[in-house]
Amino acid sequence: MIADGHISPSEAAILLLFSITAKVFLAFPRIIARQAGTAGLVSVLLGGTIMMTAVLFFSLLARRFPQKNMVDIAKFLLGPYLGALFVLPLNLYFLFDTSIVLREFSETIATAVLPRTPLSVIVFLFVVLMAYSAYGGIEGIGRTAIVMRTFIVVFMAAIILLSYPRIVLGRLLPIFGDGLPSIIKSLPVSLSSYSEVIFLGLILPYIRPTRNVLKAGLMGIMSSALILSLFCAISWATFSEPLTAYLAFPFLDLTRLISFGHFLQRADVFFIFLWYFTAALKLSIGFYAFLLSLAEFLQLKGFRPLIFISAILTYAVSFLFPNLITSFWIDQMFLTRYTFVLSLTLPLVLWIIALFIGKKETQHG
Amino acid sequence: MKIFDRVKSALHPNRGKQTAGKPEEKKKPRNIPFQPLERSFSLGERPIYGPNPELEKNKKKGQNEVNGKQDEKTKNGFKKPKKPRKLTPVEKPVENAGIKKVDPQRKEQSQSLQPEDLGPISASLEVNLALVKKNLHLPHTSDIIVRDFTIGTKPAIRGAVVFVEGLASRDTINTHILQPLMLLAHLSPDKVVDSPGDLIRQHLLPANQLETKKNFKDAIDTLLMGVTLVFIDGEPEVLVAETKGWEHRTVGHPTIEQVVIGPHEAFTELLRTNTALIRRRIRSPHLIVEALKVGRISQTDVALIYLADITNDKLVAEVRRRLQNIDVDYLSTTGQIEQYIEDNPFTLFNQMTTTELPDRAAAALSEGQVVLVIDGSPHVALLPIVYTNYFQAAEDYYLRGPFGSFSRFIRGMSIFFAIWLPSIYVAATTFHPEMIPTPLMLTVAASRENVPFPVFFEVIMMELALELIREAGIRIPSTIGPTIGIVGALILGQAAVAAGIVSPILIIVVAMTALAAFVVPDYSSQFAVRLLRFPMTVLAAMLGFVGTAAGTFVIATHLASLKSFGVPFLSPWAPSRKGSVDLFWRGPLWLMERRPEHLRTKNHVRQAKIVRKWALTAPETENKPVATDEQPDKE
Repeated sequence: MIADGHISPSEAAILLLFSITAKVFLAFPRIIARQAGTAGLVSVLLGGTIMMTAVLFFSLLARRFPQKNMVDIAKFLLGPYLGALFVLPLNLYFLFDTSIVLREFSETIATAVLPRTPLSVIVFLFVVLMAYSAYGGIEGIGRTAIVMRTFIVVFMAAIILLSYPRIVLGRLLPIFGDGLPSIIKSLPVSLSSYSEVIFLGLILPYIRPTRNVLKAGLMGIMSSALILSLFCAISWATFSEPLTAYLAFPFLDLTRLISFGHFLQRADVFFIFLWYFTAALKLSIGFYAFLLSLAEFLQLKGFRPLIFISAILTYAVSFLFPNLITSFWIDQMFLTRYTFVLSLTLPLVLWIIALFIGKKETQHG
Repeated sequence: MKIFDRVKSALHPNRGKQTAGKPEEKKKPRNIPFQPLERSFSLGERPIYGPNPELEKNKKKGQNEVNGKQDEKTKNGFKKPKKPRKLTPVEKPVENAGIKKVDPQRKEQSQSLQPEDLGPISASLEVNLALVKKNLHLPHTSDIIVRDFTIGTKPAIRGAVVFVEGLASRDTINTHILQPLMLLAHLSPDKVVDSPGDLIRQHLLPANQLETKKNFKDAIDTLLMGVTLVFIDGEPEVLVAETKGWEHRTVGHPTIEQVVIGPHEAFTELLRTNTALIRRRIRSPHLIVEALKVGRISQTDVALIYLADITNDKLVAEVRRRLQNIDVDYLSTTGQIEQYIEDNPFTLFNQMTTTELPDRAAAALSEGQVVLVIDGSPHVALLPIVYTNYFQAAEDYYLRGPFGSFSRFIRGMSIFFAIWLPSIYVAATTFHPEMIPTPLMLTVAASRENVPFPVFFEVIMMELALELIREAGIRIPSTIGPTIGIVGALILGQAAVAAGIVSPILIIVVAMTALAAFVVPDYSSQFAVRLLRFPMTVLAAMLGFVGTAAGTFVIATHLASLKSFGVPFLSPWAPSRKGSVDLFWRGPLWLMERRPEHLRTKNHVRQAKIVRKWALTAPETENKPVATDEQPDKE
């Protein structure tokens, strides 16, 4: 285990919440609308429920191997080389997830408010922020998340209240869309929207007390499911689901519609703060997870020496895609479709191996 | 034994494993009952001046206090060293008292600054006086007085007093040392005493604090603190009489932290007066005033004050450790000591605060904070602090709840304005004019019509001009201060607008920012608030609201990882602690039942669950109409 601070279960839950729900400001409402139609809400909630099994296995692993994260457990069970191979998909996942989200958020901001600023400047600023944040370690990120939670709750409440006049709840019907086939068809996407839950596996030893891992994970998943479905519902109830399916960033358009009397108009700029804080946190969490898994892979004792080089790597990977459309396409083809396999199978496989081999943690690290 | 262990582990398979890591931590009761600390002493038992027994003990052992090594050999001989709770990453055992590598040449230099050991005191008066004169450079120094005389005993003994003029009280020396020894010595009882020294100590010298020193260096060190040395011929020791009495300022009004309602007395430069001001407010036997010395040539007295039954021991030990490990030659004020002991020296945010109000220091002590009084400084340090220090003032508690809450709301808003208002103005006018309502935007545009500069330049220029007025205001002599202030305000305000250099709306923004920065009640915390607006404005000028958001995120991240003596700066917000009624909202005093959780005090309960007990009982005279004067809430 790489030594870092400790966080409370509620902090862990908030970290999960941020890393899962940040995508609601990007293309998520659109993708779900395309996949499932109005059944998307049910699909998202169902996905959350299924993903709770991953949390369950993580908590079982944490109970069996206290003071170890999933990589340590893999190394402990499978030996240093096989275990290290086990880390590789995690590395790649966090690297690509962070880079693509970095690119998409930067593109959103460039489109919405800074059309004449070079994209690299915005991406660079994000990279600096996430590197600085990750330098503070898990305690720093966890506490920043708590601070940001206050602002974000206020902004979200403002969005819900101010867009209330445009909401027609009838647009959410029929609640089951085209029926069971559409829900099943969209299940991979809605499951993959929770795939960040694997972050929990990396921070298992930092959660104190260890017995509350289950509580932290469940709180994180449930609140994420609530927020994902709530904001999808708001954007569909405002624009209707077929229209949402054709908006690049439904949330941006939602905030653009907000007007309150003659005074508060074009308030979308205010919500830059909401996007920016959420994006920066999501990126910090992803980047931290990447650093942690990379340090585990390289068998280092600390992750901080990797910050500089990893920041450059993330920056470079985010520019691998020639344009926004390509990054969207890759995101939709792979990340939002198949990553659930990783988050569901890794903890399950580890737990089965642990059962099979029968090894148990005997000493505290 | 082995068999017994195996049986036990078979019966309770999990017990050993779960507690194997830190057995002591689990068993430790949460509320540790108060145990009188042997190493400390309170005011009155022993003068604060003089060598610190703790320091001496450590020096002899060559050990570090916080290492916990001194616990290794306790009375029963088998106690394991306690694992210190992780207050800070710095608290890990530090070898060689925090100094890892010392350049040999530098070490030599630093040693030469300290007076070398001068050996024991001689029995001959001549030898002693010669040594005094040699070591204190006597013909060249004018303020050290050596007065030799004959003590009027039978047979007469020769003696001498040595003191520093100005530090020692002339009256005390004349009436309580010289007069009894020279004129009243014949009144001494005809008792058989072992030595002339004993006779003088027991019967002749009516000083209230009298010590004996056998080492020359110790004697000279104490002499420079204002005591009087009495040498007696034939005695291989010196009597040290307490005669401190230098000129000092009396207790006056606070100059920075003025309050409308509340005590109006402030600390002075004198350490002993300051500790007494605190002691007068906390008459608990558990109030401990530890004496420490910092500074090789200044030998500044520092009093470390805390409540033994409340304050966390680890916190006290950590502060003591940091103070003892400052290796500096001169140190005189709280501000300097702050820079030597703070956790993070590269931050705008102060990690301890200073106050000149004894009531604030006493309240901090009662909550479990540590107070440092530095001799020569009228500002007393309180630590550790958290973010609430930026908008909470002592006065809040002297007013009724809602008024205190409203003041805090105003202060919170001011902090927001002071940091973000210029950047919001720059961002909105430069990058996002569409967010400004049309009529307002037209007004702004009209006011900027004649201004030739970009908004950013305009803002920075005016902010710097304002800082100029502020800095000049401090330096200008008070008699001409108001005049210069008016001139500055007129030129910078009215004339700049009339000349078309800045827009009138900007003047409003800058004026609001300036006022807002001074609303922060704590003076040492104002600087961070005042300085942060410059980087924020630069970021806003570069990237609009995106820059502002990025700056805000950096501030939040920075504060989230900042610690003040091991206490997270943003607690009790992040990490979340139990709900308190005393953060932004100043709840009723009778609800403040617990001490702040983040200070990890030994005793969490501040007051009873029901404070206003009179409300539960019926008034004694039920039939008579009772005067409706309700008793005020008492804490």
